[in-house]
Amino acid sequence: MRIEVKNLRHVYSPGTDFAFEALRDVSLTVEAGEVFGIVGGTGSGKSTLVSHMNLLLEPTSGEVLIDGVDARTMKKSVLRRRVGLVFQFPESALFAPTVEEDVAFGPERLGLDEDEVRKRVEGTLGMLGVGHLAPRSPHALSGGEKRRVAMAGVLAMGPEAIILDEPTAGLDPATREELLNVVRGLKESGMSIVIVSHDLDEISEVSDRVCLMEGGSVKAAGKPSDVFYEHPENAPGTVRVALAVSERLFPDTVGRPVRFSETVEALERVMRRNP
Amino acid sequence: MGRGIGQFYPGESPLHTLDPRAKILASVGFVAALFLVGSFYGFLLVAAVVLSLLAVSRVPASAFIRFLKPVSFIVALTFLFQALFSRERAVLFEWGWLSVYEGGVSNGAFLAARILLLVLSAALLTATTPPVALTDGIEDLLSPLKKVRFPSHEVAMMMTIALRFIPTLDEEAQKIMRAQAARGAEFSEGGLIRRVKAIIPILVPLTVGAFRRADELADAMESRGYRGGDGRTRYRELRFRLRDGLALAFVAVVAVVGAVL
Amino acid sequence: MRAGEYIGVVGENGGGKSTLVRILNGLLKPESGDVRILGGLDPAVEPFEVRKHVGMLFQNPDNGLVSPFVEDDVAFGLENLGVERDEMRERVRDAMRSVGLEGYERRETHTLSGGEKQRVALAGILAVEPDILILDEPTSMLDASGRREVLERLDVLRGKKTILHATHHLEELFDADRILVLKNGELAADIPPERLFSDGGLMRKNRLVAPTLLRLAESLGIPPRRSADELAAEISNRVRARTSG
Repeated sequence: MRIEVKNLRHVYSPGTDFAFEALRDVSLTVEAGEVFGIVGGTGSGKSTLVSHMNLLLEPTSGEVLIDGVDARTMKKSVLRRRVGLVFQFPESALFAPTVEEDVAFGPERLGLDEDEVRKRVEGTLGMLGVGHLAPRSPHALSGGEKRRVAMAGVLAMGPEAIILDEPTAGLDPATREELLNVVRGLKESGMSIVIVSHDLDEISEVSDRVCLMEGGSVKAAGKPSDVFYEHPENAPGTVRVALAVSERLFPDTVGRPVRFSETVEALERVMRRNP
Repeated sequence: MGRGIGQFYPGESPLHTLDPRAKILASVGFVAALFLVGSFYGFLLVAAVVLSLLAVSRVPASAFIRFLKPVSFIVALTFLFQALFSRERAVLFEWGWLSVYEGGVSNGAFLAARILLLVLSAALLTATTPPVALTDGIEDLLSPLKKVRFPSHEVAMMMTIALRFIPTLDEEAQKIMRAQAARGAEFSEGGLIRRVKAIIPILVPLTVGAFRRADELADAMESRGYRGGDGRTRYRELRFRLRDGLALAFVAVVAVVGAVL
Repeated sequence: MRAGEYIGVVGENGGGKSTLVRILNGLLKPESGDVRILGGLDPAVEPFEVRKHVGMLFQNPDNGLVSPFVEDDVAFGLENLGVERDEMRERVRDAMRSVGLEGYERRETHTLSGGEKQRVALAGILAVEPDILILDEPTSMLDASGRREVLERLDVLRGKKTILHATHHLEELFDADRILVLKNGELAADIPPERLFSDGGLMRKNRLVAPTLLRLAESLGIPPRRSADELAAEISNRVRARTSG
């Protein structure tokens, strides 16, 4: 699925003393099957932006196109099934007595028959490696488990694209790494993925393209190597090291590595290089 | 983006600087006066004082109007009820089975005005007193009840915490509604039972979240040495000065004169 | 723990970090064993005495603030101790200055950013003037700039207070005197940061993942460096040494 955002502007509480322009003239495109990373600090408009992609928020002006069709002309229930959105804190989504019932909530809303619902619940829980949690209470799970279950609840609706808002915030590093592997797995299945995070290191590991938000606008968007090397103040550690090395030696010795493995390779090459 | 807590309007009017205890007692005085006055002139006096205090507070009129909105329906209902069903004094006009009496209209107007003034005097209190000062004042006024084991400190602390967490829980409820809407929940469709059912996915996470918050808050409070009201000092100073006494005396005089007139 | 020491605590979620810090100030009672604070106080017996000397900063800045207004919240701990009003005012003012929040006195806590909330919480603790600070993942719910804000303020306290700092971010513990590694409720290691960071085996065994810079250094066979610049300088120096030699 291709998601296009055109000249999007969003004002909260318009016409009151508390009016706040959260997005101003944002345009970007998420191509089918790619992992699109959105980075930026708190209040930069990341969450507001993604909430437009399945019309949880309606634009003040501008438009969102889903495979070329204006989202506002689509039925909301259909759109929300096609574009899944998983929010930052799984606690705000989990409510049923068991994991199984919780994940079934979405598919049931779609009016699927019982067998199909069960198949989807088992399928998604299995895919995320938490099938064994099905009979447990979602509230008694660990942070990483809760996030997977919340993701399963959205994936069970069979979306063509999924948006993950801060999927790893507050988790320990090992659990974070596992969740990133889940993201890589979803990408394999051909889904378009939008991932919002303020952790530059993790965004740079999984994204095909990135977008840097600041104060409600897109500051830069494109290939990670372009965005990060042109905005080193917002770049992950790998980029900052590579950049500092090429400044100290001579330009073009290091190239523009972004991911960890690429960077190690590039720096090793520099260190081994014969004069 | 904060909307502010309660109905407090920061300002520096003479009313803002009064001791909250004086203001609470004065509000009680106005309420008593409004119930006690029987005559038109007495009522007029109390009304004039309340209305002029609104001006003194320098809180924008729009704030008071917003305050009155929720009660306007009750006020209208009271007036209509009196006007249509009271059969006192001369008939003003008749229209089919409907006959409106002079006494009904005046009684209705009187009752309606009374309710409006009651609400306004309460609004005057909350608009000019920061919530924290209000709870401090209430705690202080209730403290004599400690002798009969009334937990006045605890009640005030509960109010403070409620004030602190209302905006947080409101935000959380919004988040939850969006998260569930993303999973296909509908809140505005279907009959009553469907709607009630639709609330469950919101209510459960909200409740679970509130308990989690309560736990963490209790930990934080305890670790900061909280153990109830005994031996505790207060950061905010409540000082009952001459002007507070005079203000109270003024309200008392108005109430008494209004009742006698 | 000795006075003035700065000790890190790491380990995966559920490893026992939170339980440990809660036992230290009497929020939880140990089933067995003995804890003594400042030589004699037992938190399980005299929690209130202990809490005068032990300040605790929690993970979620949203749930630790009691009062709707910043100033009142900073004063909360002092009120509990029964401090006189004049002294209270002074200590609140000092504490707010020390976390860089002058001018925030009348702000409503719920309108602040995560980093600001956490600094309010820190001010509330510092106002009580504890000897020991216990930090339970104080940055894990914050974004990069919020983390920086809080860490800068904590940095100043090093050496002045005894600090126990539980975190998932190993790079926050570069300057710790030693790090306690907890796993499944047991102390798996008690070692200086450099040794922990360079011991890949120990890290893996305890499900610790080093921050990018450390892993980068390790992959290149360079000892831990704390900033991108320092690491780059080391790499460049090695390259130059080779080319000139």
